[in-house]
Amino acid sequence: MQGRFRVNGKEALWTFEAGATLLDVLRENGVTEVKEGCREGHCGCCAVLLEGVLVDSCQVFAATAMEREITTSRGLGDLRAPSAVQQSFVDAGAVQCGFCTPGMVLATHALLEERPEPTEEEIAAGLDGNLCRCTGYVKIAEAVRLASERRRAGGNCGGGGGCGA
Amino acid sequence: MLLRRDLSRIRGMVDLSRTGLSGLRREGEAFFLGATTTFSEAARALRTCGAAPALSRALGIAAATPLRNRITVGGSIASFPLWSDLMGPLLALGSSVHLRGRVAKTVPLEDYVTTPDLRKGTLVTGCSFFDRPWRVWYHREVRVRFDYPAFTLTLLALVEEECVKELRAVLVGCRNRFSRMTEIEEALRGFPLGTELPGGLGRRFDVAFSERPHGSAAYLREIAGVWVERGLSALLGNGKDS
Repeated sequence: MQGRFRVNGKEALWTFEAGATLLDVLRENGVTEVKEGCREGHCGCCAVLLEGVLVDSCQVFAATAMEREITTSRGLGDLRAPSAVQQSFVDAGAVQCGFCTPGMVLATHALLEERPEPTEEEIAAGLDGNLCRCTGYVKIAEAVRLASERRRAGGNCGGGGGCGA
Repeated sequence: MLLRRDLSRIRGMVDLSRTGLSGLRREGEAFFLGATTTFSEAARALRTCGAAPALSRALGIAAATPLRNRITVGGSIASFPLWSDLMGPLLALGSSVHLRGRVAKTVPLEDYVTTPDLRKGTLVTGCSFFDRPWRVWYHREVRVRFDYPAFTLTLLALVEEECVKELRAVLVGCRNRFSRMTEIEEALRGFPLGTELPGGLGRRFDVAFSERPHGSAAYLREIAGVWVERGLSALLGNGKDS
């Protein structure tokens, strides 16, 4: 079947099997910042925002995501204009092997959209669907707190360049 | 679950998320939860209107954030996995299931889960329940917080004039999928708050478990008894574990 998808603000017409997951369709069409991990909804490596809501793309039929806004970590910012969340992960050293990072960044973004100043408990709950195989959770939580501060201060990354919230 | 099946031969799909069966609404004295309401949406809506705190709490800590944003009330009722965080509170609240299709009527949730015939050729459109000023206690038995629970325990107590007027105790995750612990409910009817709970309550209900990754059947039965006693102590406030 064919369907129109909106990924990071850009429209695309893709062909896919009726039973294909959103994860498969995204990766087959070059959206490789969405990582393939467990394929069972445990690890969060394949997380995307579907209409602004954090979901595991391996648990979403691609057909149900047609005509809906899909945001990946690349949609939040890039090397030249990183988001406050992305820059905070860099500054806090919250990236080790990097495989979980796109999902962690999106989970953090979704958490801070709902809870701009999360408690420790809310940080743990907000990121409870994302596993880090390097077990770097201390620095990841630090990055969330740093991103929260920066967003509340107006989205200043703290680094050299400007960034969006 | 559907994602694990081979769908290569299907000719079309109906996306139930676009059928408008989502949301929490009040119908007279009852609350109605639409089948396609996600756990996150349901927890948020219940919290906002202060309804069914046991259900709101259970849905708010079920699975993990991205899954709570995806798992629906209707899907979870229809499939009733052993690790369900939804079914205990719903069963304890005495909920009803609204069906369409071959059987188009509203039936008690307990009947729906125990009668296979009600599940064939029917679509769950939602569930409804009456909320009362319950004292609530909810426990999920997990090894780590993001684990599937081995079982869940829901205790609801209606207290009038410092005595237990009604108690509902439901365990989900046992060999029969769920158990209403009527022995406990009856033993504590009329129980005066603040007094010593009867001893041995944790052994006074008939529940069997299967061997599970969380532990042996005997271990799970023992630990369920411990949590029932702790929960009753916390709920009825005699001080020891509250």
